[in-house]
Amino acid sequence: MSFHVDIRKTVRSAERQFRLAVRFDTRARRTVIYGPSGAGKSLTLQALAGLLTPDAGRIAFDDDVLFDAAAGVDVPARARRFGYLFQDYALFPHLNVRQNIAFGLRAGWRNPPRNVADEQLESSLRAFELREVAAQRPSELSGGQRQRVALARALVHSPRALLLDEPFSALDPALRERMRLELDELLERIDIPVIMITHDPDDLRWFGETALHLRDGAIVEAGAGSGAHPDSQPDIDGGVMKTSARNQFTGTVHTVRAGAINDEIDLALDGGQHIVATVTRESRDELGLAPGTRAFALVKASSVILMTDAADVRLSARNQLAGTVSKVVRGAVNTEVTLDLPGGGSVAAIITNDSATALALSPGGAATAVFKASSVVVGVAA
Amino acid sequence: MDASIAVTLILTLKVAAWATAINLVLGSAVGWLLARRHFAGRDLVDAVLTLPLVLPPTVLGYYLLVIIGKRGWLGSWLNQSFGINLIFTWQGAVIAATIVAFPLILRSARTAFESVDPQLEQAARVLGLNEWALFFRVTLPMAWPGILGGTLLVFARALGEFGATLMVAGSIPGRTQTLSIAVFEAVQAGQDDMATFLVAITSIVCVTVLLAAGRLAPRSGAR
Repeated sequence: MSFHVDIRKTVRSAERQFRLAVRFDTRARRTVIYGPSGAGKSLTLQALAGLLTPDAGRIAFDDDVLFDAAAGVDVPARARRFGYLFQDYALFPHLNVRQNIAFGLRAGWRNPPRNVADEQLESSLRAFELREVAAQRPSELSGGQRQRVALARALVHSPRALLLDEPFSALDPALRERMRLELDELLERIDIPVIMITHDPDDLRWFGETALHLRDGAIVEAGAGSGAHPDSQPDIDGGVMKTSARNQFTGTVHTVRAGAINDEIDLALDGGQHIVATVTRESRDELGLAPGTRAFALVKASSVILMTDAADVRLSARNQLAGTVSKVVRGAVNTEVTLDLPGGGSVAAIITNDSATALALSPGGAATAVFKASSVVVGVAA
Repeated sequence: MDASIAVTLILTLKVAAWATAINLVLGSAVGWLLARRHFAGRDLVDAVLTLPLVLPPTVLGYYLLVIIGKRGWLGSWLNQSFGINLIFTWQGAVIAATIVAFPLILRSARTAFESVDPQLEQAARVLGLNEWALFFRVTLPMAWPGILGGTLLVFARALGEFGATLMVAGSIPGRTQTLSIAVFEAVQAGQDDMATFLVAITSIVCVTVLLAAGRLAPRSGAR
């Protein structure tokens, strides 16, 4: 699954003339196009979807040429089979949730009836927890529900890729964090490539497997997204998580050891392993962490190191989880490796393609995931 | 007397209904074009089509005679090719009422279409709809309350049309004489009782239309 984009477009308005010249190839499952507003992100995404016709260039998805100015190819938006999440969701205000989601399931000149029933629709309503509001109109929904309806609508007709236009900018900050987690989980389940445009660095940290920095209409930097901000420490800020959550563990606090500055939490995972995390005393008090407390731990996939031969190695990193390689997904720059743990559960690690090659990782092989106690974010359910 | 008044009333409603129906289709189509398509001369088209709003109805009537009259450039062609004559017919009255009321629906429809968020149409395209389907499933339903408002204005305007209708269709009792013209004729002839009666009927019809509009509009407005 890959996108090939090489387009040029000049947009003129009374005040300014804007030149877009974007060129990139991505095979990543998640690509984030990141840049300030006015950089041309939306134009790029619209061109991908077929909502904007470039002046010149070429757009292809796998071997399917969607636009080729030289060859006179311009597949209309309706035939590109992409899901598109609009910034303000663009839900149809005259239709209820049911009709909105079922909208793309039927062609023709008539909207689906108010009580439209369809197998795909029902499973979608269940999956997005929208059954209770199925008869309501978009104006009656909360921001989070609106986003779920928009996602359900975009995904119900099985698109081959998902395009997200600033998916969280319409939400207030607290909800934004929750919806990031929801979207992250959803994207893990559906196996289609995703391209997201955003100006929010948090989105980049969460979703940027591959990141393209767009400025003044051109890509200025391309590379590994999660590695793009290696120094950004995840933290707990008033109970609101700001971290990549590829790895989520749940368990019970076993011991709490007070240190000079930070406290050390030993968390007994439900799968049987233990992991060690450092938290500030303030965080510990705020979260009420004590032996017996149910808690979860989050670890960025890019913070996880992999070892294939752990026999005689001594490491300062406190956490070592041995498992079996179950999945190796190679992206343009990085490789995502999933280890299944003996007690159930899994750990994901994002490493460079070069490292993956050097370790010769393949499904079925043994490996150990290593990460520092300071890389673990501990939280409790609100 | 009652029978002839009934005929006049029915003729008036018939002319107004036809003018409304034609305007609904034409006005929506042109309103959509002006709202959604950018073409050379758009402002000029808009201005010309809005002229009936500001021109005196008699001037419009004169224009119409020049165009569809027996020796008019369209009228003579219709007459020679099909033997159709529009002057002094109820169809002529429909044309007059249609053109006089056209700017009302055009304004309403254009504003209504312009207020539909183009992003909703983009969403429909991405979801696989062609241009016709998205017009009938997204654009029109959302613009409908505004268009309906314009349609009722058109009906009311067509019902009361006088000047252009008189010039094009004349005042033939039972054939082209509408209520507003009948009122004028009655007053001219000194038939005050008749005039009072016709005025009362016209007023009742108009109030009924407005009440009907009031009942229709909110339901459509709530969608």
